[in-house]
Amino acid sequence: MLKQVHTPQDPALEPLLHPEQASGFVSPAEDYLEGRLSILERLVKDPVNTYYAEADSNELSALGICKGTLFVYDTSMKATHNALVVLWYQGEWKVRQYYVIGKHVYLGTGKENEEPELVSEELLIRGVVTWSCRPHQHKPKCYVRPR
Amino acid sequence: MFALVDANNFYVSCERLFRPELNTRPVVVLSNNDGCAISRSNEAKALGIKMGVPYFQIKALVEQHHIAIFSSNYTLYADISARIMNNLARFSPEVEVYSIDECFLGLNGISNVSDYAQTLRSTVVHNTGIPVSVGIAPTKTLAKLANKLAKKSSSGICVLQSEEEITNALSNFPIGDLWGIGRAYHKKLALENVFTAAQLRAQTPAWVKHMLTIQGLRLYHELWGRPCIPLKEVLDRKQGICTSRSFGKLTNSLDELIEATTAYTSRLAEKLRADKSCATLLHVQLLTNRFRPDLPQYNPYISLPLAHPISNTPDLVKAAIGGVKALYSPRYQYSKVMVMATGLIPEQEVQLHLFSPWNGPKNNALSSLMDKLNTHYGSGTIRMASEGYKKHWAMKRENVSPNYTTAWDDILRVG
Repeated sequence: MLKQVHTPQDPALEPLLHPEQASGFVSPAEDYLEGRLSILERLVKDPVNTYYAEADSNELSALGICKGTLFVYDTSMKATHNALVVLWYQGEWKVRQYYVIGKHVYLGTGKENEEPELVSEELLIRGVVTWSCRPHQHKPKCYVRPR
Repeated sequence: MFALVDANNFYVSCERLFRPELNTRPVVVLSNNDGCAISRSNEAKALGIKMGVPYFQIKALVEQHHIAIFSSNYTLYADISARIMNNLARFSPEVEVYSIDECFLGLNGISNVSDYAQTLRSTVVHNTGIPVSVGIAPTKTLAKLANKLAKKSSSGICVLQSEEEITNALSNFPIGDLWGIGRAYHKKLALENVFTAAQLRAQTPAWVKHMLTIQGLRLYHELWGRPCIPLKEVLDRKQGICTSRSFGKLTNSLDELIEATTAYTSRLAEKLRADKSCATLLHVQLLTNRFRPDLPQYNPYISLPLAHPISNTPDLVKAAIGGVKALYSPRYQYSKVMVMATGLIPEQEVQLHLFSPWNGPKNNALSSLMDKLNTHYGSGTIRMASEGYKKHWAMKRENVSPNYTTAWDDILRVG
């Protein structure tokens, strides 16, 4: 069995270890407790082969990816037509849209006015992007009870 | 049948994983404190850089051939290793992780071993990006031997199954490269004109037992394809836990020694608690640099019996500092301190001393809180004050790579 991916609880944000335990009345929900959803269950299917990277440019803006977007990529997946891949290309780590047409391989950025680039050299593909997480708004620091 | 899977030039391969431009350049990884070469790419080996050679001896070569040098980044290597081992473990229910870069697998019930080895190897290489070699044979000793041969083959796989394949493989295999033949046995056997594995196998069991004791006899049977060394799937309880590291520079300051001892002992205490053990004996040793024969040498050692079996940081640190103070002499330049805990007993079986005061519960609670905070906020968040802040003695790591897989600030940036 693989190690469960989980985030340790931050006691500052979740001061109560067992909020369901009540002193006066036994909670009517006692028999109905289920674990709260964790985004990791969705984002990480194979923890052993999952890695993360961060977009350092706005090159993929046409795909809705901006600088600071977090990529989740899986190295066990095979790159197929239309996949978004993490690759080493022209001396740099890049994320590109990967196209296979006939015997030819193309890399693109999704921009409408830009033809995908025909690739002649052998590509070093490290993994397939499974999710990209784009930051929108950052919550200001929440109130933490003084200690 | 057993398989031994071993990562090729593991530390170098880990460094190359995130720096593919180094795939064609010679690469060397240095030991702690940037002391010696401990992992070399094939290109570096071809330049004549030997295993364990001190860095200062190859500096000229490094400049001349543009060799990429890395300090060891065990944080990275451990994570990549865990990924490799887990990928391997998907292939067999019988797994023995033998070292950071080697793993035995039991292959019972698999009909086409060669095909299986190919799938296993290509999957692991694809998923992790680390090249591995696979040796397969009827015993662990032969699997280890097959692995050495696999390293030299282009496929990275060597299967020794038939009697003929095994006999061929043994015929020219140097005895010193056999699993379990150390330098002393190597010499002893050379005096008896035994130079290859085949020559050893041609002896009588009685002779082998006489020369190499019972362990040698096991090796002998294993060479004949009779398994004597089972897979170790459950590890023995640890006998002792040790932390020792060299300082970045020589020191004769008691304060610095105490700081380093505190840091190492804190780490030791964490290891004890992770192992759910308590120590009854604590050993402390100060060491001078044995590679500096021009300086006076002094390696004093002290064993401190602990009144209660403990694993909490404050009490262990207190004992260790007492030990350092007892050993310290200002006349020497120290390069290393070693702290070791032995007489380990399981946490639940601790017996208390009737006549000495016991503040275990308080210090244990403190320690488990420290562990929690250090897990959550990163190691070193909370520590003993005697560990100091500046760490003048800290390890020298001038060319350490980013922690690509364990620190958010260090993940790959992609264009």
